Amino acid sequence: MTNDLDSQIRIYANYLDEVDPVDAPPSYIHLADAAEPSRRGRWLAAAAAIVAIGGIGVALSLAGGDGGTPSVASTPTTPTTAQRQLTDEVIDGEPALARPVGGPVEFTISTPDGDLHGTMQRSTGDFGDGSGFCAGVSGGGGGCYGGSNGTYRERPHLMGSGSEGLIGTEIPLIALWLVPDGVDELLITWDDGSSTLLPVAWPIDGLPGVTATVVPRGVLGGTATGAGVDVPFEFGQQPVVMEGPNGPYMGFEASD
Amino acid sequence: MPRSRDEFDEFAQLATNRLRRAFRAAYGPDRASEATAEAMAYAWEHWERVASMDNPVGYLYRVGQSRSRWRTEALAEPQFPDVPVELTSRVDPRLPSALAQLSVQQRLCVLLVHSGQWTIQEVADLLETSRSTVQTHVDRGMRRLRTTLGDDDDERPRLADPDLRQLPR
Repeated sequence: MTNDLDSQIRIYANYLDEVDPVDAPPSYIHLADAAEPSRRGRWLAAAAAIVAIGGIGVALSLAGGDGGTPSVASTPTTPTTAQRQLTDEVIDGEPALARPVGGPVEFTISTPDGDLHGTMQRSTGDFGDGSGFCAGVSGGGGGCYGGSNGTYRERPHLMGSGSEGLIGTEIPLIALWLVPDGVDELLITWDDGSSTLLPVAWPIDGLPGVTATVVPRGVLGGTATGAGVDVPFEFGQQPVVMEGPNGPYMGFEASD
Repeated sequence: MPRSRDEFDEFAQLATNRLRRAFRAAYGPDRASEATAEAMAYAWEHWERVASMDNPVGYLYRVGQSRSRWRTEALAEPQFPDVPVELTSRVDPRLPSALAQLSVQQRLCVLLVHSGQWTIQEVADLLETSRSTVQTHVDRGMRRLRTTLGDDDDERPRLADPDLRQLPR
C-alpha cells in the first residue's frame, strides 16, 4: 500500500539525494583549474555550438553562399520525446500550457548574419482544448500563438525575441515574426535607420509563415513591413525568462 | 574588486547544492550535472558580476538552462531512477515515469516543494516569478500526477489558456 502522493514525492526526493548526491565534487572546479576563464569560456561555447548543431538534426539549407540572397528551406522531422516536454508560456503574468501535438518541422532562414535554424509545431491548450502553434529559432527568438493573440493573417506579428545567452553579452538578440499568407519577404526597418529584407519560411502547410533575424546592436525597435502594412514594434528593456518550443530562453517582452 | 577564489568557493558550495537539486528536478539527474557545471563555470568566469547580484542562484539557473538548452532538447525525456524495491511499499513504482511526463516547470515545482526541501518563495526566487505562478505549477503538476497514477477522481478537462480558446485560423 503506497503512501499519499505528497509523502511518495518526499520519499522519492530523498532517494534521489542518496543516489545522486548534490554535494558531489562539481566538475566546474576541474574546468576552473584547467584553464583561464576566457579560454574555458571559449571552449564551453565551442562545445555548446557543436552540440547545438548536432541536436538540431539535418536542416536543409538552400541558401549557402549565393551572394547573400535571402532564402529558406524547411523539412519535416520525426517527432521526438523532447518536444513533448513542455511549452509553457507566460501570458499576462500567468503560465499557460501549449502542448505540442504535431511537428516539429525544422526550417532555415538565411540572413545577412548567417543561417538561423528553427522549428515550428502545432500545439494545443492545456488538457487538449484550443489550438495554436509555437515557433522558435536557434539563438532564442520565438514563442507560442493562439487564436486571440493577434491578427497575423492581416499583418506581420512580432512573435518574440530573445538570446540564447545573456542579454548584454556578445551573444546577439534574435527576433522572430509571423507573416500573413502570400508574403514572401518581410522588410524590417530598424530604429537606427538600417533595414533588413528577410525571406519567409512556410514550415507547416496551413500555418503562417515565419522569419527571423539577428537584431542589430543598440536597436530597440523598428517597423516591419509586409502585406502592405507597416507594423511598429519595440523590444522591452528588461530580459525575462520565456518558454518557447525549443525550451526556456532569455528574452525581451516584445510588442507590436 | 579582485576575484576571490575563497569567496567563490564559499558561494559555490551553497549555489551548487541548490542548482543541482533544481536542475535535477527539472531535467533529471543525468542532465543536472552538466547544467550545474555550465552555470558554475559561468559564475567563476563572471564572478565579480555574479557576486554583486541580488539573486545570483536564480540568475545562474537561467544561465544553466540557456547554455544546456540544445543538449537537453536533443535528448530523450528526463530519466529518473526507478523506485528501489525496498521503497515500493511506500512509493508507486510508476512515480518516476509520471514525473517525467510533467512539463519542466511543473516537475521542478512539484519536486522541490513537495520534497520539503524548498519553500514556494524559494522556488519563486529561483525562477524569478511570483509565488502564485509557482503554486499554479504545483497544483497542475500534482493534478496530472494523480491522474497518471489513477489517484484522482476530480480531473476534469479544462482550458487554462484563454489565448488558445479559438482556433488560429
